[in-house]
Amino acid sequence: MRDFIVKRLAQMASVFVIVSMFAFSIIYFSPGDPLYLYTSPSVSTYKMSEEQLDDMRASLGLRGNVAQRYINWAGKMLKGDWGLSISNHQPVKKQILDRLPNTIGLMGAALLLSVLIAIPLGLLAGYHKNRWIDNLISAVSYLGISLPAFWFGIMLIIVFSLNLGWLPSAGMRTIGVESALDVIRHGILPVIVLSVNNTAVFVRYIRSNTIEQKEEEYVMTAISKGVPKTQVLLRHVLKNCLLPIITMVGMNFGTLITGSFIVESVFGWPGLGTLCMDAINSRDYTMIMGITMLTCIVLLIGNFLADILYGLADPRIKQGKEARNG
Amino acid sequence: MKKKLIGALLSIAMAASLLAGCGGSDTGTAQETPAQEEAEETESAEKESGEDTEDAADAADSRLVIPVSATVTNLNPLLESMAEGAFQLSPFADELYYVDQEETRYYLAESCEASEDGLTYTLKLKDGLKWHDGEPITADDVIFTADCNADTNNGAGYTNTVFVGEDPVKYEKVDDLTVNFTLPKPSASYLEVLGKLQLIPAHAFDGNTDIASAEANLTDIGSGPYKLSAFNDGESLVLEKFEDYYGDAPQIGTIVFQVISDPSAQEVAFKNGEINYLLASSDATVEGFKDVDGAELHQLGEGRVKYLAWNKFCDTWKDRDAVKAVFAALDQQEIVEGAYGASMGIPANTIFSNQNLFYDEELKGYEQDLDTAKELADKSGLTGKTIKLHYNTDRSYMEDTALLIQQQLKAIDVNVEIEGIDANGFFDVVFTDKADYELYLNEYAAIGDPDSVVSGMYDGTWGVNVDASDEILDLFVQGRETTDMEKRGEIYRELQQKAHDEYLVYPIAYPNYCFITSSDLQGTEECKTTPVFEDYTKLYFE
Amino acid sequence: MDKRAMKKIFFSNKMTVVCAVLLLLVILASLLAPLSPYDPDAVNVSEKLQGMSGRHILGTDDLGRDTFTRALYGGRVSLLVGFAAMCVAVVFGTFIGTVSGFKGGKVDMLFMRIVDIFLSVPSLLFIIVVYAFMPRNMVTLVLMLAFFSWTKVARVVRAQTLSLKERDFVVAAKALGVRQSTIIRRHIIPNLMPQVIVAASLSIANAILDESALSFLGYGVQLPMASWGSMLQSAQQYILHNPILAVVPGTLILITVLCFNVMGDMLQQILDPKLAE
Repeated sequence: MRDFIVKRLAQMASVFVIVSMFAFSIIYFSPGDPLYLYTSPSVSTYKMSEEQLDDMRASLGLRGNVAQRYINWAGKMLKGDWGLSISNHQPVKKQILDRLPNTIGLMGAALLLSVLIAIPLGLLAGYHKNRWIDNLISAVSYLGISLPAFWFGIMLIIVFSLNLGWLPSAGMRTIGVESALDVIRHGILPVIVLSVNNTAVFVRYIRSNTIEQKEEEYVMTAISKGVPKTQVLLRHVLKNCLLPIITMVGMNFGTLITGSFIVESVFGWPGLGTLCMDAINSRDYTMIMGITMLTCIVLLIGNFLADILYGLADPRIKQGKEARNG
Repeated sequence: MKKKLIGALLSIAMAASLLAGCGGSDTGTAQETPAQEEAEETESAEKESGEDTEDAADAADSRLVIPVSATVTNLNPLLESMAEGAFQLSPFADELYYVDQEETRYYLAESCEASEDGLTYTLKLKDGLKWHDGEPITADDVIFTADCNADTNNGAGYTNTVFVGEDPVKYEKVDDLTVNFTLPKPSASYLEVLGKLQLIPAHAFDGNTDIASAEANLTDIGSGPYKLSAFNDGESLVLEKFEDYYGDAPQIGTIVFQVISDPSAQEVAFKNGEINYLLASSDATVEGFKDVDGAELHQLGEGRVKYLAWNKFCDTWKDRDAVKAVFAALDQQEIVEGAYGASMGIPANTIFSNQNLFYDEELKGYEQDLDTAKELADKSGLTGKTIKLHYNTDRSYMEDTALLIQQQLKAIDVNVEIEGIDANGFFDVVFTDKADYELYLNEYAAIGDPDSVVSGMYDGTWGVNVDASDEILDLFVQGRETTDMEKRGEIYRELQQKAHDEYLVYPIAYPNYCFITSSDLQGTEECKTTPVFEDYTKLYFE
Repeated sequence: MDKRAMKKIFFSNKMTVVCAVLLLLVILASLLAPLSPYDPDAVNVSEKLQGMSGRHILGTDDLGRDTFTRALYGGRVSLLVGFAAMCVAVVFGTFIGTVSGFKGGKVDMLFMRIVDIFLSVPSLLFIIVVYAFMPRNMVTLVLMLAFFSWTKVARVVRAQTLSLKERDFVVAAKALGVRQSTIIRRHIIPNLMPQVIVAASLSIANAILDESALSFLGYGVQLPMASWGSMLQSAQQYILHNPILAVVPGTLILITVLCFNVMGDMLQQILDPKLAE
């Protein structure tokens, strides 16, 4: 197990380095000059000379070739200095960490909601395989997988916010109202939209696991002994499904992260997603790098934890990961 | 039963999100002030007792909520001089004075006089001005602000107050309230430019002009009628009444700039009464709010010029008849009606805007004449060609305008390829000598004095690829160096005519700034400038 | 075969048939778009933002263009982008997957590490970052979408190749000294087809969804081209006054993606019932 963890950590580190180099070079070779924020005619009618521009580049860490700049950036990053945002000169790390809880909160709530809805539905569908309830749940889960999240969000806003006036349309809280209830009211629609896709994926996964478990001998025995349905499902089937569920949650972290970016854009949720979109629009490359790297870390850790949990529960993992890759 | 279960699940999930969400917000709103808490109490009290029991005290604690697409990145007006930022900081930081078409309105400044030769401007501050932290506003702050702008390395946005062209302006403190600005050469627009300057406090920055990443940018450093209450990055900027303000006491207790990025979501919020102000993003919005109870529509000329320019470095235009063909093929009426709609813009006739001091409304714009256009296109070899048009994707109406131009030029058998570029890449393409595209759509501010942005667009500062003749350039210089307003009027009238005759650019539209306010908000007509509102003390709730 | 199993196959076939018909309809309608009396790009300012009527069955947009016609042409772009991205992803993924599975050893290790890297990045975020900085046209869009989706195909193909490798006919061919590339071409790839078709179907669905999300965020196909996603984006401005402008492309995306997903799954069950469980 220890070897496995060490190996995985080394692998994560190398992935991290490769991803950072890749992201860095894309931004480096992209057209468009971040300095436009200071030099565009909508800012000032004064036109800077070349030397002045060059000074400015130096002060923003925009001078030198790609390797120099990368090493410079990576060195600072390792020391915990994520640089200053090009657009507002405030430390990138602070801004990201300020927003992170909002995104994590959204993701956490959506994940919890997905799991809590998917487990009963998946169990039910799997247990009653090919009966009407299974068909209904399966059809709905297909819909969930195929919904364009942003479109679904807009439709929900129209119905629940505009037509019915039940819920606020955007933001995270009403200004001046510092109540938990207010944040919940703002969060309901985004959380629903964000959880739809994952719920559908989870339902299908749990369903097929349930079908598999149900055919196992001990479950058959329990059923034939007349143990109540709920007890069979919870005691035996669910217990044995937990492992795959954990793995899958870890594997689906990526979808959840990018999903939250889209949902944040639709609902104006002040999280990492909106921060990232603003950064991309203003070519704020230190900020983009910071967010990309942070998302990468979160994703890697998510996958890693899933692996560890899986490994702890399943001793076969010691024989290597190959079994799972197959 | 199942409903109950789902409800329970939902609340558990939300509670989890809440824990995380609140954890983050606590740091942001840590310095919540008693005044804001009071405002909250009032609001909840209002909700309980209904709206008609509002008394005078309630009005003072009232709240104006304005939606914005993003919060400012900091509170330093020198670093937030672009429209969106200036909009949010305008109640927070006052300008020196504002030169309007008929009058000059003074804010921080008591007066600003030019010397006989037009080279020295004497700026006098009002006495007894205070920063939000209680320190007095003095000539030292003016000097420091000018120093910051002179240091071109820090991103300060009022560089044109300390440079005329490439040459620096000299400035010196005369006494505690007076500063002299001495120009290297006459500049007729300087008076107006200087007035827009917003000051920052020297003491908050310890006199260090490297302001870009200073801590003070996020603290309360303003001079306006409203001071900082809470700044939640990406969420809201909350400002509250500043009791020691030198002018009329502000009448509204709190002003909130709340992030609602999507225009439709803003509209929903307005209809639900969550916000008091709505910037119309399309004609459909404006039509939707015409003659509606509870909403009041306002229309102001934005003072901008949206235009179609042709790239003089491109071989397609070797023959000027090709340009004439394009201009004659366009139907301005249809473009303005289609892309802007009746309320969002009016057809443009000159390169100055309808809000310009020297706007010539008599001049006739270009007219569509398809027969002439076809003939000229044939003669110049334009017929059958494919030409490329760039537009700025971050500017409103441009995409639709491009599509309409594409359709209209089809009529003279010219195929237009459209390529949108976002704001920062856009200027890298259109303000250079690149020759691989024919047309581009752009816009500039042309409010007030033409000797600011407008001249820069044609004299090679920015628009290096427009083909302005020496005569036109000379007229711009004459306009700058003449101080007599009547004579300047003559010069600029001639200039606008020349630009038209030379097919310099095709002015398309003067966009309108349309906004809707909840009808209980009064005093909005006092705000004649864009972006609104020039003076927040004039606003009150009825 | 018991009653339930028969019912299952019947049910799955029925679903598949319905989806196939729907998909065919969408594809056919897109192909036949030029039959519409309207030019998708021709503006008509006097008829802007009209509701449903006999003249314009789904109304018009903000420039007076016929929504129905634009939706048909938009379908061409969306389907083409989805299809092209799928092709690139499938070809590339199949290649990497078979080579990796067949060769094993170091090559396999290397390829699978690369696949792992791709699985550790949030793909849509990366596509946006890359695409925001690249010249925007359909080729880059397709390549971007494919670049981040081939790994799924590669994994499935590799797994299948590993099992095919042990089959008698492959072992026999190897023993006969047939060249490796020939074995892969003649024996492995033809037997991979069921899995590849399933992966392709799911891959199109994902590509169409991703394209629409990109367009919605403003990073999709460029003017004057319109896809369902970009139609949605421009409809957003009018969503309160003319919601139909958003409902039409959104529903089309939903139906198309749904059909591809259902078809993919059903195909999998029919072609390979064991894998589906």
